[in-house]
Amino acid sequence: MTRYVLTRLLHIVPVLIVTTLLVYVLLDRSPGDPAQLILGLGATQQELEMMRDQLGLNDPLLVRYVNYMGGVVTGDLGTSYSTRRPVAEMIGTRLPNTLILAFGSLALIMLVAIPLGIALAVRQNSLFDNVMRVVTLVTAAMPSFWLGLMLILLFSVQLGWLPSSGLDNVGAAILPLVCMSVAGWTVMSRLARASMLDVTSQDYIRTARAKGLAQAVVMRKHALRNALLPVVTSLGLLIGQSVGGAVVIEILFGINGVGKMLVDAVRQQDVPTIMGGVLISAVVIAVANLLTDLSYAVIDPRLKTMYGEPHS
Amino acid sequence: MNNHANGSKARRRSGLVLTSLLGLALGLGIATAQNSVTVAVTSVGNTLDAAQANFTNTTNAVGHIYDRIINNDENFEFAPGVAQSWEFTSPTTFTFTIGDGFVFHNGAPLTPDDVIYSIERLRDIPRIASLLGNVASVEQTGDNEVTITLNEVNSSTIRELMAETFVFNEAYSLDEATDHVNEPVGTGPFRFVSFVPGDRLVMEAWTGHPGGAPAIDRLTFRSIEENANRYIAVETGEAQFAPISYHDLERAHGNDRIGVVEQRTTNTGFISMNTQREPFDNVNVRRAMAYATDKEGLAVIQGGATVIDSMTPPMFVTYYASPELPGFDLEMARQLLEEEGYGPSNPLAFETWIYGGNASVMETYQALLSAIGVNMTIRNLEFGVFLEGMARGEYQMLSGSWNNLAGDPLSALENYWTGSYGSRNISFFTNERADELYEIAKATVDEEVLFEAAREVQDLAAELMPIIPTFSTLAIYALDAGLAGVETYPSALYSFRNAYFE
Repeated sequence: MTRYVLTRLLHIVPVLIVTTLLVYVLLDRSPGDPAQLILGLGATQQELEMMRDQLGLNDPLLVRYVNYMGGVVTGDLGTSYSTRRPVAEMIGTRLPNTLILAFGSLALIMLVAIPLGIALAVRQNSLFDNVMRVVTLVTAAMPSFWLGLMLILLFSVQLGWLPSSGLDNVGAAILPLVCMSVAGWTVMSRLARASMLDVTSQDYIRTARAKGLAQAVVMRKHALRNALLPVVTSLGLLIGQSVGGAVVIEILFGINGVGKMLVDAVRQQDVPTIMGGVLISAVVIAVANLLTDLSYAVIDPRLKTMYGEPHS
Repeated sequence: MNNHANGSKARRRSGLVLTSLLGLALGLGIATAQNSVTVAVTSVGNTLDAAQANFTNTTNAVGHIYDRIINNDENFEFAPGVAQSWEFTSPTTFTFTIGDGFVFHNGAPLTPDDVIYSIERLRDIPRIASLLGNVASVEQTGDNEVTITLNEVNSSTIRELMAETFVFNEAYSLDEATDHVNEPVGTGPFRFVSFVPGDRLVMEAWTGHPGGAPAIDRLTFRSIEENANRYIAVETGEAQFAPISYHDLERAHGNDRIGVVEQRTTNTGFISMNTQREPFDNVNVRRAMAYATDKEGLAVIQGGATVIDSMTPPMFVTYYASPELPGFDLEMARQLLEEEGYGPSNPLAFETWIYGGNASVMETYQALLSAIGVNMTIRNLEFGVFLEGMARGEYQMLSGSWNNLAGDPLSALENYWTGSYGSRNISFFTNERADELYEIAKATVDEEVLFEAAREVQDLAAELMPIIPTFSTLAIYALDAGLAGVETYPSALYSFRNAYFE
């Protein structure tokens, strides 16, 4: 198992090299001059030249990339073009907020969607199932931006219960987390329901029932673990979406996160900041996927053998 | 039965209590301290060095921590900062005297060396380097007197320099053990408490300011980028002041707990035509475009805007509305185009560039032009691409706007000056007389001479029409109805120095 984890961690290195090289080259090839963007309309040629020189934009692409990666290896993510501040510092102040949003919403999705999906499968075609089908369809159709504004108007403006912005306390986190989770609730509950129905139609479930086991025992001991595998796979993918997709929620709720920083950096062609954001996102997504793979072994003990665990 | 009913009531009561407690607990997040002001802005930025940031929000925020050497009042007249008096001792020397009693927040007294350092440090900042290129020296010339000597006469250098310079503590700034940029020490009315880059800046009243401590104890600038939510923050009491969108203006007017300030600004919207490219190398085509511009209509579509009749903002000493400026007259536009050979069989066709959110305005203009048989296509570009193409003169027509924080009258004239090709003169306009007049305006500190030169340039511009002034957007602020004394300026800056709660 340890060997498997180490091998997977090593696999992250080439992924990061390819990702950063690709993004670096694409940014360099894209139109627009970072110096002009920083100085804005009305900049003189002298000012532009001085800025390009200070930013190191006159060096060849390969030199800039190698210098950048050399810094990354030593923990230096470079200096932002637009703010002249260390990118690591900029990310450091924002990453906790983004992780709270990403993993908080993931936890909410798991807590709500999986039990809901199971309950819907158990009560297939009941009134509850039909009502929830409509409810989940409606919530899936709501853009998170609009839903967020509606939640703010209700809970902040009308009721005055929750702050409309920031992430300063538990209360402030509720609306953004709910807003980020709603789409996930819909997708994951439908997936959990379908997976559960698929598993419960298998022969071994019929056999378990024929043995006279109680419905709860059949569900818990025989159906649930097998039904969870596709759900966990999707949750792993959802982490990636949450890290990148948090930007809408960050902007709406005025939360200082990595997603918003990246959008600002893209607007200004702030290459070091974009690279830093991409690097951190790639690491978070790679680690999250590794954790997803490892969680398979917990759900299905047969898979441990694949990771080199000795047979008992 | 009775017991059951009582039990139900008790459960309902406990449910209500729980709900109330939950609401109370969560609601605590909204409460704000008395005598504190939170300002919600689109972003506080990542650096507190206003000269590096080139960002009005940063200038607004740190303007409470640092003093300027000289301030601008609401008419862009000089007003005291740390300098209490000033004069041009010759066209190239400007002398000012620093007032008594200014002390940095770390306890160090303000000295002329600090002021000199604060100007000299700007030489390394690309955005301002060309401005400093005209500064030959900054020297102490008396006990509290400092003299700036220019390389050549330039009526805008000192004005621009004063707008850009915040007074830094030299020793603190040069101490490598301190993060002097993001933990600033100034002499201003508020002192630094904390800064989370991109999120918020917290300050508290500084009792050592010679003008006395501000009435507001604590001042926080925090980022809320989304327009509607920034306004909502004022409505819910999470913020006491916020620049808001025109779209929230009506809602703000309808709320008696919210005050509204609509401030005229230096923002100058325009439609620029590239005079070096067809079809706008033809003056009659340019004039036809001006006649076809319904500024009133465009300002309505923009929202929160007022029509302008000059590229010079009305609060500048050089403001002048030329009688030659074409008014809205579609028939005249059609006639001019016909004279140049454009008509139903040979319609005028060109492309216009826009960026960001002004598509609706130019779509309105497009509809107006189509009424006289002109085919204008609109290209909405990413800002970086727009800037690069504009500077290279690759466009035919574009729309944009200028802002001016310093009240510099020369900047408006640069729209027509060959020396500013591709930076301020984006229509690539060439006119010998306009260049001569610019040099006259630049070389004088006499306001009458300056005005006369500016007037003639604007008459020329109205006749030759390289750029059409359209409208100026207002700065709209929502604030707690109890908050008074907030000073707002046409430069889009504002100050809480004299703010208080009624």
